[in-house]
Amino acid sequence: MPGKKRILIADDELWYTEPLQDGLKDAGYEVILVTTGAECLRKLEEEKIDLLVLDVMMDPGYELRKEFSSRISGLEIAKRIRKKDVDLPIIILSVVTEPDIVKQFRPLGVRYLRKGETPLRKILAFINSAITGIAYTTEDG
Amino acid sequence: MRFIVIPLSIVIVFLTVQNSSSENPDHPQAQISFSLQSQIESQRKDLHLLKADLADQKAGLEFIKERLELLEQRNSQILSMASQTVNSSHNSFEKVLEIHRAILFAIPTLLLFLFAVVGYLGYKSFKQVLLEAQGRFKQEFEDFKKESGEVLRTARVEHEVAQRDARKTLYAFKTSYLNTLTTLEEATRNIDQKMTELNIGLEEKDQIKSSAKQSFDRILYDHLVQIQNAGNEEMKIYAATRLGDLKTEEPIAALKSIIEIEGDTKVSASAIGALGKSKDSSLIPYLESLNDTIRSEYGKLALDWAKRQCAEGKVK
Repeated sequence: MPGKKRILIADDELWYTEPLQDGLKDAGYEVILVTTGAECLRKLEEEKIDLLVLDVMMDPGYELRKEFSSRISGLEIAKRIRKKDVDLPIIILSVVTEPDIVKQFRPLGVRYLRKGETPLRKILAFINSAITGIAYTTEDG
Repeated sequence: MRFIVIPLSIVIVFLTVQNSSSENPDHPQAQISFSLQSQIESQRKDLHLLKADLADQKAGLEFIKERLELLEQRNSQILSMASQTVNSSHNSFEKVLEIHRAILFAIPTLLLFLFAVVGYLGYKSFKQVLLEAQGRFKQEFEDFKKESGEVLRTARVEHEVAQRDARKTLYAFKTSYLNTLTTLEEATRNIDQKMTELNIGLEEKDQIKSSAKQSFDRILYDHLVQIQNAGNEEMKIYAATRLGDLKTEEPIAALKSIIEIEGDTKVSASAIGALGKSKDSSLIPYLESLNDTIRSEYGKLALDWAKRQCAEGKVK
């Protein structure tokens, strides 16, 4: 459908991304799911993406496995994207809490949400605000 | 005495008048006159005696008067002496009092002075002790700070080294797993290519591929169990997720064990999600039994998704 904003979710935990995908679809977005870093980069080349939701600890994929550390492949992908596109809104959604990794998000201009600690409705509201540019608010304030 | 003499004279005059009127000695009046005369004589004698007494008494009185004057003089002298003595005593007493007052004033002053001196000396020595103690404490504190700082620095360095080593170990497990995965994927492609070159039939091809996948998954399983046992939370999540990609029996048991040990955690959620990937309908009762254990929103997302996946498997 023309005019529909397109969100790319790169995460290999489908049990988590599928409910997220359903919520975003209900909110009127087109959602593409990929499970490896290599697929994510390929989709960004192929499609016009308005927002990227990225996991940190996902499989880089066969093509990138020798190049990326699997543990922080999401971070490596974000770095690679920023070399070409500084405007794409990126939301890191991860269980990673290690400060050495988290502090690398800020210079990339990405937003960081903790997976498993942020309720799904808040994540949906956050994504909605990031893509529309309207300030993020919830009923909790 | 006067009161006796005057009435007596009157009586005498009366009797004289009476006597002059009677001239006869035998006359009762003459007898009375005689009697009166003798009484007068007797009284005259008495009067003389009285006079002598009076003179004696006067002399006595004079003597007494003299004595009294003398006594008065003596008394006056004594009084004067006594007064002098009293004055002198008073003066002495005043002096004693003054001395006493002076002593009374001097003793507390002296005591105060002594206290002040002792206090000052005590203060000085106490201050000295305090300063020495403070100096010693400062020195000891500085030494302690230096030592504890060194200990802390060493501990921090050791901790960082240990963390780095732990990460290295995890990376090593991970790298080993990924290298193995890549090798196995390459091997699968090579097998596939070879089978195509050799024109092996589709059914036989599937059998060979399935058999190879089973063998390869067993190898990967060992790697993932190593990561699971050695890893932190995020590594456990990674290993649990990857275990769901394997198509052997062992990962199911391993994932169930993870859920049992972890309870309602993020690691369990990943393990439940990984169980769902199997699409094994026989897992539905097990997943239903987790309803009471898994109550977090995150865990429930995984549980509901896994149940749906396994139910789909049943339909197929």
